[in-house]
Amino acid sequence: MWDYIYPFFGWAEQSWLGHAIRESKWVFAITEVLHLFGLTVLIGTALILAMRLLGWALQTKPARDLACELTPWVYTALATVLVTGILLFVSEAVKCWRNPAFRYKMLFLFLALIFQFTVLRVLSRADEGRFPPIARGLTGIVAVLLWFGVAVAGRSIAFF
Amino acid sequence: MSILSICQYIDSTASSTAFRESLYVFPIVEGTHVVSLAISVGLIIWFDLRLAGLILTKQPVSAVFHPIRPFMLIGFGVMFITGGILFWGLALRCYGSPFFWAKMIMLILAGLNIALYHLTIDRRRAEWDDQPIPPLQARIAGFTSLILWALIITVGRMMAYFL
Repeated sequence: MWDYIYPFFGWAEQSWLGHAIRESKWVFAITEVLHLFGLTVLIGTALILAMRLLGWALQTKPARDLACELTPWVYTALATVLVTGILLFVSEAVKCWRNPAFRYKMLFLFLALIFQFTVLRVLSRADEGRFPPIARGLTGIVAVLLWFGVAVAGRSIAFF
Repeated sequence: MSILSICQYIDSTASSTAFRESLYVFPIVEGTHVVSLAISVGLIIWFDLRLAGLILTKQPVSAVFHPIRPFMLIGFGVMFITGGILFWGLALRCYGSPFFWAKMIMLILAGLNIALYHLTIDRRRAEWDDQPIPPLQARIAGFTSLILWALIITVGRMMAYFL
């Protein structure tokens, strides 16, 4: 299946955008720093929300209110990592295609995004008491672990 | 004894060479450094933003700070240990990297900012704990911390890039 989409990776790498980013070491490095900023904030939102769902922090604030207050931070961070991630990807798409860490990263990213906008969204915004505490706590932990998976696999791309 | 000769000595030790040449230890330590960074900085931003009066303004400052403190401290501890190991393995290359020195200076500034906050305005926190917008000095401490951590991440990444 991965072979079928190879032409897309080749096309991305040969695009003008791919060329432009590859040509400047600084553009790549700065894009990577912004990618890291976005990931740090994104993991930060997952951590603080998980702590609330576990009942470890901010117990006086309903989880729903916290989730709503964090939403703009989640969206901004997500937009940042996705845009910078695409820029980094097109500059070395063929290398990514061959890279096992990249495949794991995409898998974790896919799972993390689905989890974030389905299970986490529903449980964190549900009325208190509608879901058992263990389900809420587990949801927070799983969200954090999925984003950690994205981070670790992402860092590993450079090691292959 | 100069800093250079200390770095030369560290670089020549067997443990430093072994670390540099290891296939798995280096990526694992480096990966742990990045994950602990995401934990500690990912949590400290909420406290800094609360001090700056930008988020969770209806919650007391201490309600944001106290629960995240143990996790933040563990994250920072792991970050320091893994950072120290990375330095041990790459001492001479760090010595020659302007980004490394910039990072060390900014880490010291971040430490001073934390010390200044806790020794001054935080002593009187009971007076402003519930205020949505904390006093100017606390807001400055929050903004300073956010800016310094952003810069530390930036030069840290650049350092790894241009080593």
